[in-house]
Parts: sequence; structure tokens; C-alpha cells
Amino acid sequence: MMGVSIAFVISMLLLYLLGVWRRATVSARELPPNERMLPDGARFALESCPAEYVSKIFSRDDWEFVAAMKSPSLERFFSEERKSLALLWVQQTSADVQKIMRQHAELSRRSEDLDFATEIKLFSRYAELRMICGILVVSIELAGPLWLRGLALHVSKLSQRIEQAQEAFHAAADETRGVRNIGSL
Amino acid sequence: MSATVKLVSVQDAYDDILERTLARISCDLARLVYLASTRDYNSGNYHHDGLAARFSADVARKALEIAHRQVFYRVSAYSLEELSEEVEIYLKSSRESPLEVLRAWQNLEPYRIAVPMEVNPAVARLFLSNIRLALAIFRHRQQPLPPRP
Repeated sequence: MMGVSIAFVISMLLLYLLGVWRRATVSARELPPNERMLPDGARFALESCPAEYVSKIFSRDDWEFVAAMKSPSLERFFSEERKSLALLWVQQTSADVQKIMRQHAELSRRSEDLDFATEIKLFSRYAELRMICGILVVSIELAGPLWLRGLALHVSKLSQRIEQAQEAFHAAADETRGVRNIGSL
Repeated sequence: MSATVKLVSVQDAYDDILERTLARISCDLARLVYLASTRDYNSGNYHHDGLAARFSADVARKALEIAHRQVFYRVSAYSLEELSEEVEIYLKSSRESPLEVLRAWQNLEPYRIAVPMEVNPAVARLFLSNIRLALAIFRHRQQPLPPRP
């Protein structure tokens, strides 16, 4: 009987978390991110969000300034604004890294000298990033973004590393192609 | 060689706009609005007759674009407290009544055009969100305090 109750509570909790995740995903989709207006591929002309601004989105300093004004309506407005902003950033970062990994997979398929250790490291970073993004989305929806600055900065660092690794891989692939072209002359 | 010359010219034009025009504007938010106003709504290209006459239309365009981006990123990095002060200076420096400007800014959101092209969407959204909050804070501060019992 006890086991059934525990299983019921766990499944209810899972359903609730699933609902929260779904709500967060939908509300982030409703936001008007600029990149949706751009043609496919143009997104990479944009810069990734610098860590300084990520830190601001998740910072408590602005909240303390608003809270000092002792206006519940301002506090509510601030919480809503920061929550949607934080969700937008998580979704954008996740989507950007997904695109980078798709590009990487495309390049890797054509590459003849793959380093498996590097590939595994890159993939584990990607998996870690996607997992933390999922945790961030649910946590932002449940508790707001102001407690999550450390985790957000970790995601920002991870995404930059993946971006750099992809750039290095791209440069190396171009170099190899260049050497081959010179050899064929 | 011509690329170097062009880079030097853009730097000179940038310094020129900084010294002659931007330094005379009261706050960064007003500088941002001014720089955004030099951009054509349809083409997205920047124009400044004086700067184009001293350098060239192309160099002036590039210098204005760089200045716009720099001021935008600086304003976006402001804390909400700093931005609230900027909004207050900006609204009070207008020829119109500050409350009239506030009403127009809250209803029409003209500050949206202050975002340069091809900036990071999250930074653009942070800027817009902070401006909305700073305007709400200004309105809140204008309300008279309730009488003490």
C-alpha cells in the first residue's frame, strides 16, 4: 500500500514537472526573438550573448533596487519581465548550440581524420549543456531566475567552449582541404 | 593600403562624432536615441550630412554604426538603478512635459527603434525590458505619497 502511494506521488510530481516544462517552452516560444525574422543561416551573423549580460539577466541587484520601492505591482512586473527574459536566453542558447552541433555533425561525416577523444568530450559537453538548460527552464518557471546565476554562467561558459571547439574544428578542416588542393595542383 | 586609410578615416569620423555631437548630449540614453535617429527606417543605413561632408558618406555610415552599437551595449549593461536615472534625465530634458513623453513612451514604445541591427536577441530583449521597467519606476516615483495618518 505504501509503495503504491509513493509511486502515485512520484508520478504526480513527474506530471507536474512535465506540465511546468511544457508551459515554460510554450511561453518562451511566444516571445518575439529577433532571429525568427531572419532567413535561415543568418543567425550566425549575430553575436552570442556576452557573459556580462547573462550575469545581469540573473542578477539579484536589480531586484533589490525594485524591492526597496515597496510596490507590489512593480515587483510583479519585474519578476514577469526577468522570467520571460531568462527563458528566452535559455531557449536561444540551447537552440544556438543545437545548430552548432548539427553543423559539426555535418562536417564530421565528411572528415577523414576524426579524433574520437575530442568528439566524445564535445558530445559530453553538449549533453551536459542540454541537461542544465532543461533544469534551468523548469527552475526558472518554478522559482524565477534570481537564484540561478551560477548555473546560467556555467551554461554560458559551456556554450562558448562548444562554439570555440567547433570554430577550431572548422579551421582545421579548411586547412586540410587547402593542403589537399595545393597537393592536387 | 586603401583599407588602412579607410580604417583610419572611420576612426577619425568616430572621434569627430564623439567630440562634436555626442559629448554635448546630456545622457547615454539621449545619445542612443540620437544615433538611432540617424538611421534610415527603410534601408537601415546611417546618414549624417556634416560627417559625410567632412569624410565620406560611406565612412560616416560606418562610424555612426559603430557609435550606435557601442552606446547601445553600454546602456544595456546599466543596472536598473542607473537606467532609471538616465530615463529621468531624458524625460526631464525634453521640451514636452515629462509625463506626456512618459505616456507616449509607454504606449508607443518608440525606444524599440533604438536597437541596432544584428545585436544579440537576448541583449536586445534585456534593453527593452529594462527600459519598460525604468519607465514604470519613473511613473511610480511621480505618484504622490499617501497622506500620513
